[in-house]
Amino acid sequence: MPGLSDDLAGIDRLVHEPARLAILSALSAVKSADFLFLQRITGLTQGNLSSHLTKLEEAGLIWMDKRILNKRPHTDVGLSEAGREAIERHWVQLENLRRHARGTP
Amino acid sequence: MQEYERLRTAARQYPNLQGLRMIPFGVFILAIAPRDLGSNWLGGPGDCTFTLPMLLAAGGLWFLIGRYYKNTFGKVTPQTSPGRQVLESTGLGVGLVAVIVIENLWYRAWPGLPVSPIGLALAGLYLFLGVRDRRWYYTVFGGAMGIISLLPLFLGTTVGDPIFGTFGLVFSLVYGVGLVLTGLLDHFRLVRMLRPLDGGSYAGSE
Repeated sequence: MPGLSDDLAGIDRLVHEPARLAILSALSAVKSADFLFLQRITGLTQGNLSSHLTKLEEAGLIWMDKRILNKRPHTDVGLSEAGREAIERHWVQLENLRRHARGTP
Repeated sequence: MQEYERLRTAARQYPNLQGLRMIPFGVFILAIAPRDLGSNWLGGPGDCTFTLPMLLAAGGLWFLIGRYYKNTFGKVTPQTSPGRQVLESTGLGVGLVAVIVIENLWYRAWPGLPVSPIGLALAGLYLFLGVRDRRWYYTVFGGAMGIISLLPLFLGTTVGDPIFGTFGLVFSLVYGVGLVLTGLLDHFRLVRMLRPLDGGSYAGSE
């Protein structure tokens, strides 16, 4: 049976970072969301959100669809299959960690 | 953990919390309420000279307010199928307005009924939504609609009784005010769930 140290070692740092976890959590509840909505829901600045999205896209956890709509850039973002699995796995790991920390099996 | 659950809830409920879109329909229902008192400038029941353009205007505003939400808060595609999405978005607005017309015709066709079946169905719908989405004001609205629908029964009369001739008016007023208030409360709830565009709790994290 995996212990506390195994659970800690298994945590994906890319997913666990608070801002990225916030983005992935919001995306896990929808099919896709645009850049503005992600900014409004996380409170991140444009630059910060853009940087986190790039990291998540490079890791293959999200897909991005960048277009020009009415002469303005528009970005739609959604979770990839790998991203959906990663966030689900992360919640299970966090739950395991919490159980271990409380000493419950 | 709670913060991330808040994010999930806000993203999931975003399309349903665009409450300002329901206000034109609420105002429309309030505007046509005097029609239930008989013929007046609205033309009385069945006359669509004024009510149809007003309904179309409410529908137009529904779309325009939808654009406001898209430009101000962004756009979300829910996980539900496109067919269900169209059904939910158009059905909620147009369907609920149709209810008031059906109600009007119903109690004129069957004036002996001691309850309003359409009103009870609406009450059930709002109670269900209130419990499912934890929106207490929907539960209150559903309760109010339920009481109004059962009012003739409590008074020992029928929906078509001349003594209770203003049933349609009372029903429309409660329904219209309810749509406006729940719309405003939905909007305020949405604004509280989202953050201003100046950097929030995750700002600065890398």
